[in-house]
Amino acid sequence: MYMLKYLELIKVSFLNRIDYRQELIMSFFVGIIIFAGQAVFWKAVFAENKIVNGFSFKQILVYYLFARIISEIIDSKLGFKISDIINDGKISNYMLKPVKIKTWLIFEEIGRLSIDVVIKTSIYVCLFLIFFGSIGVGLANVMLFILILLMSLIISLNLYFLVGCTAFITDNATGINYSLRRGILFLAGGLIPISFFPDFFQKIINVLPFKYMFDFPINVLTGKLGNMEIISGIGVQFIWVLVLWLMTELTLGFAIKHNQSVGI
Amino acid sequence: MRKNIDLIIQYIKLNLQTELTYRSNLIFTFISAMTYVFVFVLSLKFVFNYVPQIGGYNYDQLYVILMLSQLWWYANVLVARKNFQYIAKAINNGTLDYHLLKPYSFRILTPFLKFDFRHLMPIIITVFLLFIKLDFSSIGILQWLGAILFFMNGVLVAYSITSIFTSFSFWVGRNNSIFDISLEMPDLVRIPIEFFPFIVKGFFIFFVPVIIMVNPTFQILYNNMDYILLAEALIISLVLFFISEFTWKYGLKNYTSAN
Repeated sequence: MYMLKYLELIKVSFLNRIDYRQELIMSFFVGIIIFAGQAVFWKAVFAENKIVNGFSFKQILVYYLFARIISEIIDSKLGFKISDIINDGKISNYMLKPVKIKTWLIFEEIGRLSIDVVIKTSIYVCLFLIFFGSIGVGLANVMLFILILLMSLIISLNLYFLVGCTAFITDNATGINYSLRRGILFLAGGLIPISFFPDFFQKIINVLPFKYMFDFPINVLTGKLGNMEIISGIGVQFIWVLVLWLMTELTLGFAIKHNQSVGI
Repeated sequence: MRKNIDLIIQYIKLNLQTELTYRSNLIFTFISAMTYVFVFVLSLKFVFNYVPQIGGYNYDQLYVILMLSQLWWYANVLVARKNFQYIAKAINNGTLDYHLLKPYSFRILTPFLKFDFRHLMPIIITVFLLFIKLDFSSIGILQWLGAILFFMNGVLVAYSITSIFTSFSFWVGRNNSIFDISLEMPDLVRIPIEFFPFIVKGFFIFFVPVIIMVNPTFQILYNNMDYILLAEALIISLVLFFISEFTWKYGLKNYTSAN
């Protein structure tokens, strides 16, 4: 019963997204074009080398295919949304309702993302199969991937929520949102796989949460990691889920206590 | 004309004051813009740790084309992105007549309505980063002029495309996809023309014209011109400009005010 109102939010957000279908269609086509661009670039990289840093051309395409799918799921706009509602004072409306602001916004975001994820993932995978034959991943890896991806989603939502909360101090957090989005994408392995990074860089990235949003799930899916690496990775991911969850709760609680609204 | 210039100056002043209201946001936007450059350069560097060259291009050449693509993006943000976001929202909300009813040429003022000052500093820094790798002794004055002309041509193409997509808002209501899409465009714009297989080259010149954005500028700077590509770039730019004017005028007939 408690969750019903939040589930209704997913439905509303889902319907809102459906209402503007042309955006969905356009962003899908752009996804395909960007993927084609990445394929063109890497084709040139592999022109004179069959294997580069342990990757074949097809493996790198599989990496970017799943990087795109994951980015549809975890590249959330939650930070912008929070920044906007703080900036224009609408946060007061949320505070007056018998709901948790964070849960409300997260469920709204999940509703927005859900249609994109289902439709685009199916079409991306189908197109890849048509053009490249097979992806080469086992069912067990897919199941594990989904579990890990759920934790990646929680990390991402909390991280962007935390970033958006900086608007309580700065009034407008669009700048910090943009800067962190690109930084996160890079550190998470969304631009190039982390195995291309120098060793010292990789050691730092291993303890940060970003790798567990892109690179880790993809490597689990493609079977590039051993059992111990997967278990320790899930452990680190779980710790980050807890840490970020706690940080968002504390930050939001503190910020709301000090928030001033005029003209409610 | 004098009236328009006065208005442009007023809009520029107003936008600067608006940006300065949120100083921390201004600083973070600058950091964001520079983050884009640095992560792309680092990514390129990391890939070059494993291969000596990519498709016949060495690191320095791909670095230059990367900087040109960033400059193209910042120029696009400066004059097109934020302005058309504002216009698309005004069309969707039915508040565009706030401008349409005023006695000035809206199309002339469009690049200055929300002139985005936040990208001026990244432009200066990126120009500096670009100049580091350029061999000035081999670039003549005509090459410089040609490079600047074709760079502006690339920005005009982006401006016209954004305008065309914004005009679609007259028919379809909310239409923010072009602004989400354009965020990813530098990824494509920085790919040299030679990388594209023949079969898709035409598509990326005529339908999604990313090849003509900075490739002509790069070719001129390196004195390696493909005159057909240069001609195509100019023709496509003109055609898109006229289409953007047509879609705007035709779209206005479908505009309904909410005020």
